[in-house]
Amino acid sequence: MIKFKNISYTYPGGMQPVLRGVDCKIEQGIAVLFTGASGCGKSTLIRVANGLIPHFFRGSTTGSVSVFSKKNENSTIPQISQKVGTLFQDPEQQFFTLDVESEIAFSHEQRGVASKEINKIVKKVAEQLNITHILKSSLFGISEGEKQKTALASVLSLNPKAVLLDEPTANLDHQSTLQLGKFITELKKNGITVVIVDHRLYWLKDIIDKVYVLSEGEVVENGTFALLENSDLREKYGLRHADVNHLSDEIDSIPATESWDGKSVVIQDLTFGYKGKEMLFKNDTFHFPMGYVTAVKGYNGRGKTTLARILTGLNKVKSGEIFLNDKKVTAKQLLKKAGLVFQNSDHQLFMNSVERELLISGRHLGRKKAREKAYNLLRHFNMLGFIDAHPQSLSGGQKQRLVIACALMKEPEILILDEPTSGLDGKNMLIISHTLKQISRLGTCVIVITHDLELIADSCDFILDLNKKYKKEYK
Amino acid sequence: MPGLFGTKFHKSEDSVSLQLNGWTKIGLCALASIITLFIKDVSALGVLLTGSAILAISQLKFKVIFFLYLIIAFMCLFSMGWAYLIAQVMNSVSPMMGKYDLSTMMAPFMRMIIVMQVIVVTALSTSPQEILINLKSVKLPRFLYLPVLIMLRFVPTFINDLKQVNESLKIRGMKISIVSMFTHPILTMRCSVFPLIFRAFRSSDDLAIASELKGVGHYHNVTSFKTNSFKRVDIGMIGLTSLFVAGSVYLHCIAPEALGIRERMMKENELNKGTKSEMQSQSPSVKSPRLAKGDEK
Repeated sequence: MIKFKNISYTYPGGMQPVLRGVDCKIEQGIAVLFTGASGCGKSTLIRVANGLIPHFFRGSTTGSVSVFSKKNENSTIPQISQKVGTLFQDPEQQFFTLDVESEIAFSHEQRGVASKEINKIVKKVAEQLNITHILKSSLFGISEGEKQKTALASVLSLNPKAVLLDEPTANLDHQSTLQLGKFITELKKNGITVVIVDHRLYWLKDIIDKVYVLSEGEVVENGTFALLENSDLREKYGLRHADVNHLSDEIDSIPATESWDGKSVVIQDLTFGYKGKEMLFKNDTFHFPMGYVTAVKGYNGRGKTTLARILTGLNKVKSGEIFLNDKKVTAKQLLKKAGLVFQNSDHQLFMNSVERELLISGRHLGRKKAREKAYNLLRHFNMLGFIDAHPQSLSGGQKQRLVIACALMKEPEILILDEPTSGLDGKNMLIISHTLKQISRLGTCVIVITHDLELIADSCDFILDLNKKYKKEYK
Repeated sequence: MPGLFGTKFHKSEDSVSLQLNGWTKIGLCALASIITLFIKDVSALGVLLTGSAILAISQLKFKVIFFLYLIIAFMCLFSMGWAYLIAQVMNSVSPMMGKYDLSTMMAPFMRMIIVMQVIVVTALSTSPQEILINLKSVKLPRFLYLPVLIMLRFVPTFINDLKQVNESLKIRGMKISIVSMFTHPILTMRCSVFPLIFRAFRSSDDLAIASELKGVGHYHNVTSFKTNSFKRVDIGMIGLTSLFVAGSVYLHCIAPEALGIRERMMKENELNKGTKSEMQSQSPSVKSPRLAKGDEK
């Protein structure tokens, strides 16, 4: 049982409390959802529950948290993590070893479990989460979804009494998300408490026993999942759809087409694979129309990001050709003509102010035009107030929007975004969605690698499903 | 998403460094760190440098090695360039002050390269658990083994960050090269170093959180899932290392005596001292450095 007793918390140097008087009791063997707009304090609540607050992040705390009748302030982090397993939003945050197998085994090694026993545990959990094929892979060489599964396997292999899942489906494909749902139901049957923090709600309908809606650090609503079916409430607190079945139906009903007369980006007869691994593409041809938004989906590790890297010129194609509006282009030319927004925005910000960050990307436009464009983009993304802020001081969602704005400053002919809405609430997801549509209408070929069904339904004109043998579909 | 270095940092799955026992690699790191403290002679350091370079080049992928050398080259050129400039300015004021000796400048960098090559090979080929078990078995206190463990684990993360920053720069159309270091030094520095600093802060925090949650150093009886036992390959590595160390020690201690180099160096030093004291005694009458140079002749 996890008990939050009137807990309030302010980060060191913070002006406002991130949590304000959160008071709730989570019983054994149930699944609870905490949801709310970005920055409402959901992830902080996870840190409070697993003891990182106050043992790692100092700050100022009032109230108390008890995990299975023991107050967190009287236990160490390793003692708490024996009972409570945590899956972070960014799985890389919890990796300590270099490959998948040793990452799952690591915590058991710390606890002195015999190597034969560890071997059994690793095999069992790998089978459950369908990651047996990547056990020997480096953690730096697997897809984001596979990283999430590895982190989850590492947590679940310890048989904790409770699990805290922070955005567990942010990088998972649709099939893996449904699989995770079934897995959580099994955990509940075994008496394990599951605390989920997520923006995506659709997959939780039959799993969740209680919902808490947070706003500015406070619990503003609580009840059963039915609470989230109220569209006014969802709009008020910036939540996502509670049911996307109608959206996916719409997507599935899209008629197929094999030809396209307009301008497009074509990858012809592509054969590509990484050394020592199975080929990802064998004589495959892909077609992305200019002036439209195309979603690329497929299971984790299928090669979606690789396809984006090829289209941006980061990976050179050994066999196959790329055409942009019927003109053959090289990898070097693609680097100039394409923009790619990675999931991790930390690596993509270099300057000491938001304005400079944008201006450096628009050098080719000239100072006056670049400044004008930068201001327009900041206005569009509701970030004009942060023009002088240091990019690294922005929140995750703001960094994500800034990186997209920087890519737009380059005025690319092809713009690719890798999971642009993972970790974004309903309101921010809509901003990204509208932006994608606007950019595409200017003639840019916009490609979105995503598992986000709401984003696909809201902004995408085409779907390239890598699971369906590259069959192209359109609205 | 296998990136710039593919899925592994090594040339192959059978790389020698992946088969070596943890103790052999930790021993190599300790030996490299200690021996470079005592050896000053450039030729002696050159022998160790060659040995560690053979180890690194034979084990790691070309791109990893290239990035490693690029960082070292940047640091060397940057500091040596500044030292040269300062020496030139000071020399124009007084020839006594600004003597630029390349070999003296090179020694610290050679030491750094030797240690770096050995540590990178160790960090990329040894599991954190193997390092942890070995360091714990010699009863090292937690405050010593934990930082060593985190430092070694930090190396692959840093290389991965370096790769991602480099790719982001490419996409943004910003080219970082040796030329740009001189044409746009501030921009180059900002674009290449600053994101890495921010990432380094974040990564160190992440690793600390991960180690806390996984209970690193909290339990007394730790086991190892997979370890490399001491094999022939370890004996071979120790033998080869001994050869390079012996060669280096010979050049540092014995060779200068035998070849009369030390005697010659001492004579040169005495001669230099004599010239300096002579100049110091003349200094009140010296009007300009050029005049002083003339007097020396």
